[in-house]
Amino acid sequence: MVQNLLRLLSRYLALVVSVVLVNFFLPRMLPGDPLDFSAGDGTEAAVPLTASARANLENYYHLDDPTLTQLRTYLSELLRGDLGFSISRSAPVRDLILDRLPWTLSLLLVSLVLSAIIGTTFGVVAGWRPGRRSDRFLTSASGMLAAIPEFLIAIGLLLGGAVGLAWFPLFGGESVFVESGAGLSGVMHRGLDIAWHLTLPAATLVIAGVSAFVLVTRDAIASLQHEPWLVAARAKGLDERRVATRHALRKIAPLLITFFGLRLGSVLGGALVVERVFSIPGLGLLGFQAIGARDYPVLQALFLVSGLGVLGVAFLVELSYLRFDPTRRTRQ
Amino acid sequence: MTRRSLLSWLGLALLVGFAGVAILAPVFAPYDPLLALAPPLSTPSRGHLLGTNDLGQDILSQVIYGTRSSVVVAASVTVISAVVSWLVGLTAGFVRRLEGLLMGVTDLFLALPDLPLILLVLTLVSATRTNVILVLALLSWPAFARVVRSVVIGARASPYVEASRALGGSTAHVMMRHLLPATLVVLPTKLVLTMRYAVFAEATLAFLGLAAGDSIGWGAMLNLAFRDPLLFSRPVWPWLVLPPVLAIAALILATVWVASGLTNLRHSGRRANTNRQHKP
Amino acid sequence: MHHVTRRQVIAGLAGGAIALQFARADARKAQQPIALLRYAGPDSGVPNPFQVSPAGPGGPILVSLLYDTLTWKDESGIIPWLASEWSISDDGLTYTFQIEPGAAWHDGAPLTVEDVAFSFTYYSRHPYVWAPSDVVQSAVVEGESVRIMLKQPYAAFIEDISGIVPIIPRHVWESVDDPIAYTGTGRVMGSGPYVLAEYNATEGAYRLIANESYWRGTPRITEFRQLTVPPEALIQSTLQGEIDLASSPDASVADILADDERLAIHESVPLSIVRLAVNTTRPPLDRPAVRQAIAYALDRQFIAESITRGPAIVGSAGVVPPETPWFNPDLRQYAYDPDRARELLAGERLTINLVADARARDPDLMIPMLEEVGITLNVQRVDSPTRIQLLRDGDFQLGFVTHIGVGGDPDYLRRWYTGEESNAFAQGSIFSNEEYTRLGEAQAASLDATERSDLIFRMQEILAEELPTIVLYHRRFYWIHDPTLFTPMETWGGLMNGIPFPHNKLALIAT
Repeated sequence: MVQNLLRLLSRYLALVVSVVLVNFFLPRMLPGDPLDFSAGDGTEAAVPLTASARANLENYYHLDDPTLTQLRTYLSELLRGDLGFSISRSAPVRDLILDRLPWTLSLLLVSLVLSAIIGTTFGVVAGWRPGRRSDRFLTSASGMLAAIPEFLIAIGLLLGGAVGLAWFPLFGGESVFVESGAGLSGVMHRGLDIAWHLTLPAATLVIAGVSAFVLVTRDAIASLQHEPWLVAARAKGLDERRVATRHALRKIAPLLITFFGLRLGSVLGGALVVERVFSIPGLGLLGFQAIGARDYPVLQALFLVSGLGVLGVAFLVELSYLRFDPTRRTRQ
Repeated sequence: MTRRSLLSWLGLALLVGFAGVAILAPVFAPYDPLLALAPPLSTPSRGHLLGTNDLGQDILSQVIYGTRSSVVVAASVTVISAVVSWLVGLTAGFVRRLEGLLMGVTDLFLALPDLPLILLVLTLVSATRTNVILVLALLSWPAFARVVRSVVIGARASPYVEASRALGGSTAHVMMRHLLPATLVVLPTKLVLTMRYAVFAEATLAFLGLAAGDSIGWGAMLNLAFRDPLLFSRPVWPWLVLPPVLAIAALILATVWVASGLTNLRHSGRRANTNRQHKP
Repeated sequence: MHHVTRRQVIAGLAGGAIALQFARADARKAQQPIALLRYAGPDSGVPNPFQVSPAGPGGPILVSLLYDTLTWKDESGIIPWLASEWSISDDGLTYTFQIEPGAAWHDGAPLTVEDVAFSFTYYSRHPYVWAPSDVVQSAVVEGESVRIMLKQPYAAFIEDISGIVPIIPRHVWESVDDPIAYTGTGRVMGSGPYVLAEYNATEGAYRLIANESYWRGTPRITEFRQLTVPPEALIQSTLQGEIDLASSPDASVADILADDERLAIHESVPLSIVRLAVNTTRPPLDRPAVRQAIAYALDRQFIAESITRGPAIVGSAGVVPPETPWFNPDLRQYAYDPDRARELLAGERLTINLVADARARDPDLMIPMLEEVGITLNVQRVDSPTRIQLLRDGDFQLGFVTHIGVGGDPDYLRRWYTGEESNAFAQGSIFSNEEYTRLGEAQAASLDATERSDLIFRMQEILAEELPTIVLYHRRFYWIHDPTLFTPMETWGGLMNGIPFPHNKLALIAT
């Protein structure tokens, strides 16, 4: 057991190191310069930097240091928890990320959990009697839903919900300059406002992600149908719903947990699209703007955070395997 | 014929149709898609069945020529991804020494978040069609490699492989006669799912502004449409948006239907394939 | 396990929906003070001279609302601002400014000559990126006025430097060594007509409140908000009454908003330029005949009308736009003439590369036009930073560039081609012509308006002959606004160094 744990840890440590190194070099290989101060969207004006002013800025941001020196600085700052200073926003990167992390996290978690709940429920319904009409309908409906790219769903919801019906805001994570008041009612007010703003983006992610859960659950449940214990339970006359929730779900739980963890990686990409379309101030939008501005410190930090996040989740998932499923151990 | 297999045949027909349109685009398209011939932003008329875009280019011709981009990208990504992942999986499963290294590299790719990485790499190397293909192939091979590897490991332990070995069969021989067919069984589903991923990803990238700038594509048409702040105030907006949307949806649906048909064919196990909805 | 009944779920959802509606209604109600102007503008970072975003013109305009400069511009020209009057020495090296006695900082402390001298001295160590003042040698207090000494005479000083450099409070900045990272008090405190009440960095939203004790009188617009609105949502937001001032380069806004009673459209002077940067060191573009052939081959009127969907404003070959103070009307121009182009090429077939932003539409129109005269145009589409890099490195043949900043003082004609200006529009400016350089330096030092005008006119003539850049057309911005709240002001030559935006602080203060 301990040996497997150590092997797991060392593998992940190696992955973490590779991620850190890749994160450092990749932004620097991009053509273009942070000091060109391009807004990335072809904005019209730019500062009249003289050559000497530019040289001063290069010095200030340590962009003229040799690469190895920059790497060393980067690593030592990283160990101290300093994620650098954004060139395009003149603010510490850590603050930028901490301000925006809650938006992305809440979007991701809310939509992932909702997709899981809704998807699993439908999946159980579909898989419980495989081949029947409900199964065929749900499976093909899920398949079709999975065929629509996220950005189309996002645009569709934006058009329908925000432009057409005007029930939802057109953009933004929350209403700005609104006096919500103090105390609990103030917090609730702000919370509701944010929920109103995040409804369409979350709905997009749920619609895009639910079908995967439906199909996985359906297949897993369907493959259980011939298991002896289930046949026996049926024969005994136990209530179907109870059998489903008590026993079947528990059996497929490890699979679902793995899947949940793996989905996190792909949902990150979806969050980027959704943040773009709905202008939610999350990490996805920050990253997108940072690419346009060639803001190295921000890009490095973002990739690090998301890479480590995904690795962390994968690590926990594999850890849970070690604990719960002895047959998997040998295949590490 | 069950309803499911009907859809699969429909999907196949659609795929063949798309491929045909892609190859014979100059035959089907009424105009050169790049020529600004008509008044811009005009609604459909006899001369221009789907209207014209902001520069006066014919939308129908653009959709037809756009098929090329999508089909070429999807096909290339699928082929490259399938070949690479198959080789890696096979080697990893068979050559014990390399297994750790190869699986480590695979894990690294699986760990890095898709879209942000694609964005970064494409900005790095500039978004030409070749680069888009390479990047998408690069990101879609890992998952399949794992599947191939586990198939190989499973097959390795099977009785007839052992028997073959016992009878003095060489490594290469064993690989060719027994393992290869085993791995080929899982291939078709993967091919189709990768194709779906490629169309998906290419459309999303184009929408985000990272289209292969050197060609017309459906995602690029959408990107152009949505970049116009006044889009929804123009009467012609459904014609700017719906044709590429329907084309993308149709191609993806076709691949999904064919994939489900293939899954049904094989029937047994491999349900875990559907896990990787976004990175087959 | 506690079972939630279906009824409870429905009740919960209904309650939630109702609550959401209330939240929304409350939000709307809370936004109604008197004379509130909401502008859809970009997020420009913290609006002080050291932390404001160096990308896009939104930054310096915001800074100009919070801080004051020595001189300013209105519709007809340069006017005194913090400097009630000024004099220039004969050799053009010394500027003496008398400072307005009534000006004060937002915290109440008076703005004195010490602050002015301190500002220029501080900027020599920490330049204001929007107006590099390294031509300033020293700034000292002399009794009631400030004497600023230059290293060399600079004709554009009053418009480009004293008209843009914000005066900063000495009592805040004198102890700050690293202004770019400064987060302490007073970091957005100026003497301007507006005070920054709130800046929501994640949403990119600013709330500026009128400075009631502003030395020029209480501003009429009591609250100014700058909100980041994505382009796709802009028209909708405006139509839904959430925005009072927004811009579009597309003339069809006039048709779309024709029925709206609240909003009007103001057409700005066309000061946004769309042009091709030409690499004159690379064949075949090293031959003037080829460059001129390209100019003749392009139907610029057609391109302009297709892209802007409005009446075309074809550019001048001398770069300085028509309808601006320094425009030379007697230049060689290149009206659309494909026959002349073919003549110049004498039957030669050429292949030329064009580097353009992925989003640029004009190259699509240019391809068939150039094909007509025997030139195959290969368009290389890249993102903005890559394009800027390629142009900066000289790694291009033709580059497609769009920007503002050509309506103000014409010293940029010199700076582009001497390699001094290291920004996005100077990129790719490759041209070495001795006479042009000599003229450039002479005009920068000339303090005689007539002499300088002659020199600038002559420079435009050289540009029109040699074509180191081929100007395609100019774009107007169409400003959607609520006329009862705000009257757009067309600043002479564009705000500061040629920014064609209408919210000159004079327009916000005016009664």
